[in-house]
Amino acid sequence: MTPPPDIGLDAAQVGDVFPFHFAFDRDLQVLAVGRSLGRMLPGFRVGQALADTLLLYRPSLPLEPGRIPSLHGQPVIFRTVASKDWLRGQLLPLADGSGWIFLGSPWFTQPSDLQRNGLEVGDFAAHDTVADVLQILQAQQMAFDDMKAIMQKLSQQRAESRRLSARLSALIGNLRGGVLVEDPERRILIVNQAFCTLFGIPADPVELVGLDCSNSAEQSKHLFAEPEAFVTGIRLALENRRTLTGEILTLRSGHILERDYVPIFSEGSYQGHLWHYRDITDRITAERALRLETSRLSVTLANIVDGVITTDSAGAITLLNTAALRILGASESELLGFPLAEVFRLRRSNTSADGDPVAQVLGSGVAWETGSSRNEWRWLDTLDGRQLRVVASIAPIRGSVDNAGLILVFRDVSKEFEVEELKRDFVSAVSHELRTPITSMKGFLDTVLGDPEMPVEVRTEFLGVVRSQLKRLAGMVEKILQFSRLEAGQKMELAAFDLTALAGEIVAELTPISGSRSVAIDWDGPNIPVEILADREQIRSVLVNLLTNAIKFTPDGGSVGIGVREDGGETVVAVRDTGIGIRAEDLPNLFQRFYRAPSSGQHAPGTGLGLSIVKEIVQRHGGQIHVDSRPGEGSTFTVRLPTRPSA
Amino acid sequence: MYGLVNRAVEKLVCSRFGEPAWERIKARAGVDVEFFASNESYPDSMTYGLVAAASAELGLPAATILESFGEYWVLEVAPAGYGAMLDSAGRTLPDFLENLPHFHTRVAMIFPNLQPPRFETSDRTQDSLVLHYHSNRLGLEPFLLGIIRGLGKRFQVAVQVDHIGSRGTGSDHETFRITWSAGGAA
Repeated sequence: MTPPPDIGLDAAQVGDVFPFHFAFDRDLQVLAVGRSLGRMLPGFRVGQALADTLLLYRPSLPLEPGRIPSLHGQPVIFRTVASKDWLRGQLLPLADGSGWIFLGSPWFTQPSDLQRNGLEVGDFAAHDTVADVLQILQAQQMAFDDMKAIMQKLSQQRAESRRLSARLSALIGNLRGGVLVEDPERRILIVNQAFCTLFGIPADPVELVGLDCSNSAEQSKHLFAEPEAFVTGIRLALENRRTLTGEILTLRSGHILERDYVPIFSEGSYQGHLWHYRDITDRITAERALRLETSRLSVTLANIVDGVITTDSAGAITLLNTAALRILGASESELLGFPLAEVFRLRRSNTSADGDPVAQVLGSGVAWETGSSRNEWRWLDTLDGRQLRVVASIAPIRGSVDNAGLILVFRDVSKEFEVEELKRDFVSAVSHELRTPITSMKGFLDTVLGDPEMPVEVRTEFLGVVRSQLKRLAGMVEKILQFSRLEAGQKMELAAFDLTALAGEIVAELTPISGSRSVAIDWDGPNIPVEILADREQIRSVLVNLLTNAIKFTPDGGSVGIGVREDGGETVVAVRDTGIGIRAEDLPNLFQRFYRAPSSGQHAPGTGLGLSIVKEIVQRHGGQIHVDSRPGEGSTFTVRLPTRPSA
Repeated sequence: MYGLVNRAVEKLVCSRFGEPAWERIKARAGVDVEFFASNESYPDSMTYGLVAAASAELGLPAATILESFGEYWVLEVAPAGYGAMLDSAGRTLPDFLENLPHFHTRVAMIFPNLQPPRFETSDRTQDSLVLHYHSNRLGLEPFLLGIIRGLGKRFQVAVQVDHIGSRGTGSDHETFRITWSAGGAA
């Protein structure tokens, strides 16, 4: 073996290479202390007895001068008296034979030993592995800490998993629906009481956990109205492993079940599946009832004459019935979702607005309605440009929430309003017309009765006037009665007769009246028989009304004409006059009930029923009436009647 | 990269932005690791990916995140992970910095799979020294800056760091002049 080279270390270099060295003499008195050892053991000084600070730990011998030579060549461990730390190394004799030197370093087993001894890593020589050992120990500690952290995390996850499992079991146990969770081999993982009840399984759900369900479909298929479809459905679901929801199954008992199938995957791996069965019989029954009710409501709404509109809580239209669409002049698609307030704008008159009752009801929650009297009816501008008279009511809908929207019910009363206006005029006119002859008769009768000496010829004349007024009065009453009969649907008495002859009779009857005013009644056209099948009395009424009107509105000295002829399958009667004529704007209303055209700035005397009676009779016979007139020149009324009415 | 580093990123994000943010960052980085083992070696790309994802998720520049992380490492992670070893690594900032080379040499021996950076010190004066940082990883200089600032706080001195040489300007390593003044724990 080759001896090591003489590297010639001086004392300072030895101090650097072995900073924990110490030397002592033959009496075991300290001769030198290394830099780092001095930092570790501040009380370990030159001149001190070695045994004051250290004791020999291995070999386990008393620290006596005579024993030191035997330690040469073997590992030596000293132990510090105070701190019980170890110094591991070896002893060498000093070159001059004056003593011994210990070359070694502390042996620490945990990193905190460094700090406890006031040392740092730099206090160790670069070749010393103690610092490396401590580093390894530190790494081990880190690994241990990691392990503890992982264990803690696993414990937390396991605890959380247990909690989740308990919650899941509790949740499933309390579900109203029947739930069955199976593993991939179809062994039961979780099942609840509701499932057992649905399928008539007489067992505690807990006892079923772990049981094989492979044959369960076959075992329970007899419960279903379509057993094979039930088995097939389960087989397909298990094969496809795709979520299925809302499958409807009917039991033989009549109950209806809804089934969900949910495959369970974890990180892409199939872990089993869940069946969920719900008895929805009550729900289906309720839905059917609701559908029926909705259908009834829908039919009802569609068939009532009033417009009905509902809105949501914001006032947007959610439903309209047919009448509402008709009155508003728009389609459903145009109005659904549209704000009702913008569609239903009311006015009190032609010009003044009526606030916003829709917003008012939405805001206040208090119902609103137009009054029942005619002067409280409102104007409504329809979407297709008409102006109608309406009555309406708006009420909040109160459901499970405070404000569930509102409902508007409204009716087009334009016709009623018109009739009301006409009736008002009629009552006024009839009152006047009835009062006039009565007043006249009363005056003449009072005069006759109050003067017993009155000459016979004067009395006769006065009574003649009374008779004339009575006749006029009777005519008016007859006209009102006739109108009333027509309104009541009086049956026609059809018979064949000669219309020309009838016209001649009437002309003869009226000639004295016309003659008294120098109004001539001319016969227009050929005077030949024209036979017609009709209600003679009603047709008579038509001709009397037309001729009487013609005479009434023809000034003295004028003329009236009547002609009867056949035109194809029709019989045509034309009554003309050279009277005051009718203004163009009055023509459309001429045949309306109670309408009396202004005549010379005033209403003409009469009930306003004559022409409406004429029109009603003509139409009943399947005919038509037409009027041509020019103010100041006269009028011609032309009646066209089927010679043989179809019914 | 050392697992302890990745775990430190996780702790920093969780402590400041919450666990959901960390899960989003992991998902964004495509990292599916539930637990980073301290002494395990993980691909550098994973750490870079986490920092980039954190930058995107938190709306902060990557350099800012790295510097915050360096400071957090010194003040929070290293004391917990290295404990007494850290306390024994130097009584002063310059002592600590001068021990860094020995520390990383030992780490390299104990964990041969790791590739720790290599440090050298030079030009030590009363209040400064030059730290040479050798690493085959790019872009981690802000992390080192954060570590040095954290060390300043640990040793309660005010620290100024000047980046005086870099691989971007022709050198083969990064060079920092570190100047300290007593009593300025910033």
